Amino acid sequence: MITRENYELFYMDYLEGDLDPALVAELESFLALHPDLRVEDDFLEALEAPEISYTNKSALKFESLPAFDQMSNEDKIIAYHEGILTESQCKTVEQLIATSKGLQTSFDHYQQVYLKPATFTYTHKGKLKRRSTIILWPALMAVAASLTMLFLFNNDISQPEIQHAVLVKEKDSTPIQNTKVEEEELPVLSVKEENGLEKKDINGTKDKNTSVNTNIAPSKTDSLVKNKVIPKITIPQEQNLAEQGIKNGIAQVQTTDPKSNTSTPNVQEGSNSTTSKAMNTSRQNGTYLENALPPLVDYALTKVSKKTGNKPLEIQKEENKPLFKGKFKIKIGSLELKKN
Amino acid sequence: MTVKEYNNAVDIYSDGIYRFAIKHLRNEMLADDVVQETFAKVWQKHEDIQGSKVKSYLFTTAYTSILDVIKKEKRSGDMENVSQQQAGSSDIPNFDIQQHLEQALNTLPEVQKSAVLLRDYEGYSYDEIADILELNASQVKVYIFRARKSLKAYLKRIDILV
Repeated sequence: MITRENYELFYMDYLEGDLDPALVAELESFLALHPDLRVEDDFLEALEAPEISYTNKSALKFESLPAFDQMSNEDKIIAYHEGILTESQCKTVEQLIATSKGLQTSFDHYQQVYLKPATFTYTHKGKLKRRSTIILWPALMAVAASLTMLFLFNNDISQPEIQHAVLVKEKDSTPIQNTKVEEEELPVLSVKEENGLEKKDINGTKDKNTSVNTNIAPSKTDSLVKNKVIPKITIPQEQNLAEQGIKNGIAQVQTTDPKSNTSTPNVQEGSNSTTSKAMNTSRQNGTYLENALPPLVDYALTKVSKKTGNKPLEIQKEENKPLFKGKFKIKIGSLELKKN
Repeated sequence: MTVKEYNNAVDIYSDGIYRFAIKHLRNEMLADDVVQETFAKVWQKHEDIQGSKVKSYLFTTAYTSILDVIKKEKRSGDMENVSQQQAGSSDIPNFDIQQHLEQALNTLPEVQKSAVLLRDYEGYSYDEIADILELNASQVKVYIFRARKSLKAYLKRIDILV
């Protein structure tokens, strides 16, 4: 049954002549009852596609150029200038243009439609370039080593009480013994009265100037405290330490093993509290100098003495600088440690 | 392609890419964008590109970028108003015929224009141009023949060729 909802389906077939003849009468009856649904007679004519043609079809075709013999004269001339002809084909073209003025003109014209490369300079090449990603292991290792050294030095420097190393000036030549140190060991440098004592310098030559002997326990904290061995620096009693070697910029440091009584460079690491205790102890026993050894010197003595055997140590102070502050230099044989 | 080869490609081919771009776009800034985009794309794939193929890859990438820019600019209508800026560093031979030829070049379809530029400026063979423009050699040859005819017709129309 044809209704207002489905009539379009029948109506389109009717207009196109495809409607079942059995339904034609029914559709016409329906349209008679519903004249508002009837379309104009030219309804289908309006739907007819206009004649539109694409004129540039040749541009879309990808036809290969014909063989040379089938080429137009114009194409032969172009092919000649393109340089794609054989030698014999070129001669053919040359003969061809020689016979016709028009072809000669065309030949000349085509000769002029070639672009000459203009020089262009791109000025931002630097922005386009890339850098290689290279891992510089040696450099990284060097940085790591530097940081390690820095840490070690800072570790020493960061112990403020170490700066209170002590030089003890003893009233007699007896090394400090049985001094009660409750905590840990201390690198105490005792200054010993030794008038007339000969001093050995680095080169082993004898000198009657200041002789500084350090008597430092060979073991660490416990042995230093329990064995009651105090490291010492011995100088002549009447000579002021500051006015002697240290003031003059050079102090000869010679360590002495108390047991073997032989000179061995051996510097014991000290700790903060021990230093304070030892300062007090040394105050009780004689004169002293605070800040006698900066921590860096202390560290250097500790580290390098292990590798130098019995070679004496030389501590050299920079001239015109406060004692044990600022720049200093340590020489052990050919080895030199300098702090700026 | 190594980093060194890539940087060498910058030294050797950036001028040509820039020229190729500016001839299409007639705008320094747009051409500069194309050059940078081209090399950036090539850098992204530099490990997969053979050093011997980099020039072809660069021009292919530049050509694609140029077409993208042209489409974009034409959509926004800017391309019609683009002033014909030439790079300050350009050194066009001061021959009238060449200047008119440059103008005639701009009347060609992009594909023909590219084919002619690659042929005349870069000296590419038909096969190489086909590789760059993603055509076959016969198509390139046809495009170039058509372009030559169009250029000649243009110059003749303005009485440059007599």
